[in-house]
Amino acid sequence: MKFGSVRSRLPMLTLPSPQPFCYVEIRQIEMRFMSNPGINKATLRTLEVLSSCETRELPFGVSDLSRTDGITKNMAFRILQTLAEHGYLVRDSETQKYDLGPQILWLAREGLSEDFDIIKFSSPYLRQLHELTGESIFLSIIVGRNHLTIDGVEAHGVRVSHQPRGLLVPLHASPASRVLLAHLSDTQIEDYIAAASPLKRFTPTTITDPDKLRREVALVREQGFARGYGDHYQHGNYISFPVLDSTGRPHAAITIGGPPNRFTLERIEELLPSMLAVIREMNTHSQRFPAPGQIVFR
Amino acid sequence: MISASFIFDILRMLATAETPLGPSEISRRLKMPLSTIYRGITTLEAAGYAERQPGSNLFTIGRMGAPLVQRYLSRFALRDVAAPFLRQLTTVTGDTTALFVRIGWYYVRIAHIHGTNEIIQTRPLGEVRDLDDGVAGRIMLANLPQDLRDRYFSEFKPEMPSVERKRLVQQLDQIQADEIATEPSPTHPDRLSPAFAIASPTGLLFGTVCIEGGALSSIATAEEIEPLRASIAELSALCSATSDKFRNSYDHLSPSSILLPSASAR
Repeated sequence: MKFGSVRSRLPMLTLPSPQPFCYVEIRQIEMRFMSNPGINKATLRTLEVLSSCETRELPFGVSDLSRTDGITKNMAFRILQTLAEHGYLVRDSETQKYDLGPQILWLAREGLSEDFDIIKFSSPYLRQLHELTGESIFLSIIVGRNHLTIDGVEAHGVRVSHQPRGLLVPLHASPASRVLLAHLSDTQIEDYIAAASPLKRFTPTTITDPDKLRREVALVREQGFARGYGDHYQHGNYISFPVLDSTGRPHAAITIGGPPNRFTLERIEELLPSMLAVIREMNTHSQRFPAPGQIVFR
Repeated sequence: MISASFIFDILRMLATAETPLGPSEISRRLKMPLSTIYRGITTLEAAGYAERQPGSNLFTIGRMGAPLVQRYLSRFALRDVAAPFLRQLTTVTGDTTALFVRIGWYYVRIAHIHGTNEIIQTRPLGEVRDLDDGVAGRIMLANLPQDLRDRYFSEFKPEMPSVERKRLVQQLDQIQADEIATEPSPTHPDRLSPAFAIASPTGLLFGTVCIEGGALSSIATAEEIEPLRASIAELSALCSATSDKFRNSYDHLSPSSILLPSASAR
């Protein structure tokens, strides 16, 4: 029996790469199961292959299973055929590869954990940034060709206030938009420019020239944040930072905004290292979750 | 020798049982020898698919299934593209917004964003229901080609009384014409929960979105509906642009060949 076949049901032993001590430990556990005469070994192996689909690259074929689990192609074929016959896997008739099938839904029970929630995740960091700066903090995500502010912490007294509920701002205007746009792929940025052109002007400083927008994207990528130019909201000073996944795709943008007589450019410079420290910590954790990947602008 | 088929019968029985089951009860229900059942359940326990209740010989479905269901739901590309739109609709309405896909004669909840209102609706991810049970399914049924809609009643719901069927068909025709399905809100009975189809201009259905609260007043106006519809239209356009990614993966199977654990009362 190979190392990989039981690893998936022993989460506390799952490591990024196999380690020798781990191998011994798993072998011992496995021997305990396998020595039980009440267990059907062939069926156990079939169930273990099913379990491995939690972490295995999908879809996969007979050769992939044979190679990763060190079993003959004939045995791999029989296991996959058994799981497909019962609907736990489905086979693509063109590629001959297998993916999880709808019968998996029989295995759900109460307490299926919830998906990654960017609002819950971000909440303590928004508060931390508010305590650090004393200003209003906003959390925004990409919706279609726009950004939408979905959460925030407002400062007291004279402050930058929350945008109206549901207000959509195109991805070329405002620092939150530009920081989100800058962390899309070059192809996606070109698709956005093509789909949104002519780029709408909101204020005299809104970037409407595609080449200027490309230069701005390069600048944001280089410095890791976007500054406000009064290109959508004219009266406050703003700075936006990205919240990214492990591949660099944007989950969201965090924007800090304040009145220009208090949140001055000098004050922003002074606070920048501390704000970046919070953002870096946030990004360390956000990298554990994949950001929405299917962004299409056409 | 235990066949895998028999193992899956035990697994399905544990998954649908209201209470933990012992080998004797399973043996009685499946009409199989106790010794065979015992060996089967020991195998399931070793693989993590059956879980023994502490200090007893009773079993429930094991923990191994939940991560597999999570992975299965994550395989729907529609979840990724729809997530920001669900978030937008929840932000605007304050209600829970959920995403569903059709599998055979059922619809499955594959994603949701919980509402921010004081009283909200929550149901489990992966929940399966019959297509005629609830607005999210009914709008799918209304958007099916006529032959498939007819087969739903003849093959899947042959026991449905003709009066009820006639009323439902009329309702489906109305939903198709209005391009929106509504039902009394589960959280605010004097208001309505709407559902919209995510579909291509050619009628290819990708899924449905349901706003599970009181987003609409009992006599919904165009001013209330249009902003919601506009968001769904944008999502539909994105899906249509790369429709192969989002089309139903099980269209090549006969819907009647798929049997799922439906939460609908039968």
